[in-house]
Amino acid sequence: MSKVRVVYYLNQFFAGVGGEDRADEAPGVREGTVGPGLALQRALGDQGEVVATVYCGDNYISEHAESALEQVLESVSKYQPDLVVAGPAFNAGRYGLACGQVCAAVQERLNVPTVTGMYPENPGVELYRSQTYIVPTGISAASMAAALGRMVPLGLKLARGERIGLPAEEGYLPRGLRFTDYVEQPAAVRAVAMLLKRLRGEAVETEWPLPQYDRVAAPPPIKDLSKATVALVSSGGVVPQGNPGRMESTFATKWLKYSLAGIDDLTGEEWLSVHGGYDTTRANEDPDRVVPLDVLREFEAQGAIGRLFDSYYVTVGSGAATTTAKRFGQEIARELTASGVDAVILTAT
Amino acid sequence: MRLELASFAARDVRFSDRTRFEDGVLSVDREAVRRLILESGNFEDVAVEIARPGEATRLIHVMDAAEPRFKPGNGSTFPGFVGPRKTVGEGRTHRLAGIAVVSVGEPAAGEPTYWREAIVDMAGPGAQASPFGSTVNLVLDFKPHPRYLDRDQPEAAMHNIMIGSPVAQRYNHAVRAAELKTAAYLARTTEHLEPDTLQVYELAPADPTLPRVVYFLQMNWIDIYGENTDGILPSLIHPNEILDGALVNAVSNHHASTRSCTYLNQNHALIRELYAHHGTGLNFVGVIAYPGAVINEIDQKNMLAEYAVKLARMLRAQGACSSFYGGGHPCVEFMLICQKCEQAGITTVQVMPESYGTPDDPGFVHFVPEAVAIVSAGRATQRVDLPAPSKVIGGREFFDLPGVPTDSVSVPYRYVYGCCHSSGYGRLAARQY
Repeated sequence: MSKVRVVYYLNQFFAGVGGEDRADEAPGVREGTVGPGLALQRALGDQGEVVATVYCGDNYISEHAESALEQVLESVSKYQPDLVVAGPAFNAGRYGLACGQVCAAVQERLNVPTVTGMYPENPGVELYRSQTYIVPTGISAASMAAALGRMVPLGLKLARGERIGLPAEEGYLPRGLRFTDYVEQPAAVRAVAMLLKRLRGEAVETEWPLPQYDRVAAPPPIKDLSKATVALVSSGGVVPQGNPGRMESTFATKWLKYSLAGIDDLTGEEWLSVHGGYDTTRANEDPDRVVPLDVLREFEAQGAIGRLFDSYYVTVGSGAATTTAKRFGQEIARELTASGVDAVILTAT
Repeated sequence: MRLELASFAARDVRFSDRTRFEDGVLSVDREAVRRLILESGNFEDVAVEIARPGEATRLIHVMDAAEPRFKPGNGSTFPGFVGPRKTVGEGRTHRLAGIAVVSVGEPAAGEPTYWREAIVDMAGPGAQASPFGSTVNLVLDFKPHPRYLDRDQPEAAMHNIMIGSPVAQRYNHAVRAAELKTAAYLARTTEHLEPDTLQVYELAPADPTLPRVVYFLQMNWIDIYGENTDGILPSLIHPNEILDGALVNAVSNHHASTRSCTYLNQNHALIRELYAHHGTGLNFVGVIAYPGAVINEIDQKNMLAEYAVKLARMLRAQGACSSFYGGGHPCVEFMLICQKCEQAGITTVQVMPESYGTPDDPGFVHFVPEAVAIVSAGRATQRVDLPAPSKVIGGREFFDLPGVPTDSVSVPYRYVYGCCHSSGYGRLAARQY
């Protein structure tokens, strides 16, 4: 098997350009190895070859993120690597972010596998763990040889397209990705075994760790609602009869926008819910139960609210991944903000 | 209550001029099965086929599956559907082990199909994932009577998109009745034969120092003794009743991977595992069955959870297994039960199919901090590649999948029938990478 071609990414310090005073150094390239590249080459042995070292100042890459990344990617791609190794960054925050950023970009845009190393509390871990492979290291460069010794076997496996096992087996920090595979025992057997252990007072390891979701802080109240433009947004799936936008009943891939101009009431003759995840009988009798247009028109007439925004935004919440939902939210919020909407009534089901 | 499950190991099913069971082979009079089904008047026609493990056959539009069972003497086989309404779970029950009767076919008027597609491949990765890739299947491909297809009748209107029109509900009931009647007819061939094995299920008095354990079974659209269970209060049920055919799937429109399935309740893996430890590691004291997904108010969900946990407290439970049917709404009451159990000092382990989420998404609809012991039944959004079959039974086109059933397809596991079922039957599990 031919040698794995490796491009090595380092910051200005490890590339031997200079210390903190040279952190503004623009990206550059050296053929072959510099600095810890020697140790990397030693760890690769005859399995791989460090063909080039690409470096950049830590401040430069954080201040010129886009252009610096472009330059780094261009240099990397010239050498047609099978693998990009970055760092390790240990507990250096800016360097960790740079390694994460470079690895994520190489992986996504050049489709070349990447591996880096960081101290588990380096801020780069949380941000980039799912987009590259991060091997845990010690806090300082004293653990360089040991870190590279763990990064190399994993990197070689990635470069050869071999299946990567569980974090504990391969020695990388969990990426927060869940994949399904066959295990030895049926779920029923594992469940009762886990229960017996718990009942004996022994510690157990859950197979599905609880997440930590972002908590959205409530914004300050609207000072004067009688002057506010209010919009209606719903995940309840109420769309015009015939579902002209072809909203999915489950696992929605989009949100839609419908005009409410000139409409005072959502009737079951003209609107329906296509949401596949709840009993829609009552919603279809009177869609205002999900999207309270009738009441908002009354408030508008009374002057309780300034104005109801002309467009209504809708999606179906059934089966949505939080990642998709987050994107929908951001896209809708962007439009609403640009349109000068002050407040949103968000109805779920 | 003592249930004796008399197993007759079947290694093959063959068509013949007379239905009988001999030397591990079930011979089936195809015409007799057709007549049995058509006499109800609910079907225009039914095609009876055999699908064996290893054959390049694909079943699509699967609705339900059942294991052939027959209760001799005073017992009622599939009460409420075949036999008279009386409780089961005692006495002797004959079963043809290794065989499933599988219902497939097109929907009725006003029947939702966005969750209805269900695939069983008899070879390849699909066969490995589905419990029905390793059973010899007698497949019933139903063609509804035209009165179930008339979209203009008032009763074909779909008011509740999840369960479909009254016509669709009646049709699904008719399909279950036909499937179970066939299952009973097949198992009756063993009436006067000696079983290969006899398994006894009985909650015999156990060492009082063993921890008392209950099982919380979350139901979605399951009939108990032929009765609708939507909105019922949580009910104490003997595990033998479940193993003896009291629970029957009622609706076809739910994710294939987690859909309630008559066969998987008859062979409920978690109940059998709890029985396996009864008297040695634990004292199995009963099953609390409750409906999921039919209540939408948080106040009602709280009430349901509190009521279910109250039953466990009345049983003086110290431990609980709790299984999640899948979906969004049911996750809330499922998690509330865990929370209230732990608060009441009942140690809980949860079995969860992972219905939602991309790989980088945690995938929880709802959770409580007490949910610290979860067993994964697989993440149903992950894709699996299914090679092209040489034969397809059940229809010509998929409901909501791109491509055609005769080709190779890449589908999320949620389309593979029974592969992530909450009874814990399968070996698929999601793990943290």
